[in-house]
Amino acid sequence: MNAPVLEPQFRDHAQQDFARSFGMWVFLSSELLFFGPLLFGYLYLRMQHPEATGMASRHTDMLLGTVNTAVLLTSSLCMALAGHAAEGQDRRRTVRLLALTAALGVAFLAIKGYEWHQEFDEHLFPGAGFHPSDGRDAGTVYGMELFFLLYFAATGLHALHLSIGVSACLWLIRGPRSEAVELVGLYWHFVDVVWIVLYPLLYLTLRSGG
Amino acid sequence: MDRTARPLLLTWIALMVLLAVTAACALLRLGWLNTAISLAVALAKALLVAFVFMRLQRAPALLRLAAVAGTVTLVLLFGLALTDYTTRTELRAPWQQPATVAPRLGSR
Repeated sequence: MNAPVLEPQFRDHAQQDFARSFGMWVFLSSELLFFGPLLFGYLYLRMQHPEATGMASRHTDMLLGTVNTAVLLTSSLCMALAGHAAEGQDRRRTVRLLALTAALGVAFLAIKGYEWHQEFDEHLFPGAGFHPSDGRDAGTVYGMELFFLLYFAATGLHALHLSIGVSACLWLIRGPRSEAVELVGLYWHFVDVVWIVLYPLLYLTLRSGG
Repeated sequence: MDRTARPLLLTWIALMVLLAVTAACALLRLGWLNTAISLAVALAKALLVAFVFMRLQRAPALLRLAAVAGTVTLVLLFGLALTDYTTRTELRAPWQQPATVAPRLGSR
């Protein structure tokens, strides 16, 4: 491991690491509020168009969504293990686990991309070409379109965050310093938590038909 | 795998079990319980990740406070926004033709 630099404003490394973790947590809190409006939009949609939300949600691919959730949860485990290995100054192990985390992140994005492709093909992207196969009246189609607007906005924003996380992992592999692995790990786990919340909202709503 | 990494592994197993539970329950016809179970499981999974993977259970008070501050602010904003959306009656604009009242994004 490279020797970490102590910035002049800090008394010691412990204080510096604590300040960095605190900064990361404050950033993650603001990120939570960044995702907040999408979640509120979903709540509003669920209150206004409960039936349409269920109908639209049943168009999403539950199998791929569940597999993707498992992939992301496993990537979080790898990231946590990488943080653990970095603390123990085990550089080889840290690099391997970071590479595995990044690979699982890429696998998630690939599956997500395939899902988006499917939904484009089924004319489920909001806009002029939005024609769900079971949309009967205009009100229901409107609700379904709102759901897919939220779906693409939320999963797109999440995928953007995940690709930033993958880049951070790849950047870390060059020189995995313990506190840097810790910070990127916090970010990675936060992105995981966002998906944990999105998964039931987008994939499981009224899946059984109510 | 050394002994100290065991809590991480156990957490992952718990997360996978919870995922299986929530996916299986979603396929059963339980009415409002479907939503309640899926949200409760999501909360449990999020707390597991936050406390074990993000090490909140051993974090100093200031870090926990930073994590809670975001959540509390989000809940406050949800509350404030809901006071508006749940009490507002949607009035159709009187000058619109009935055919254009049902709103649609994009054109037909």
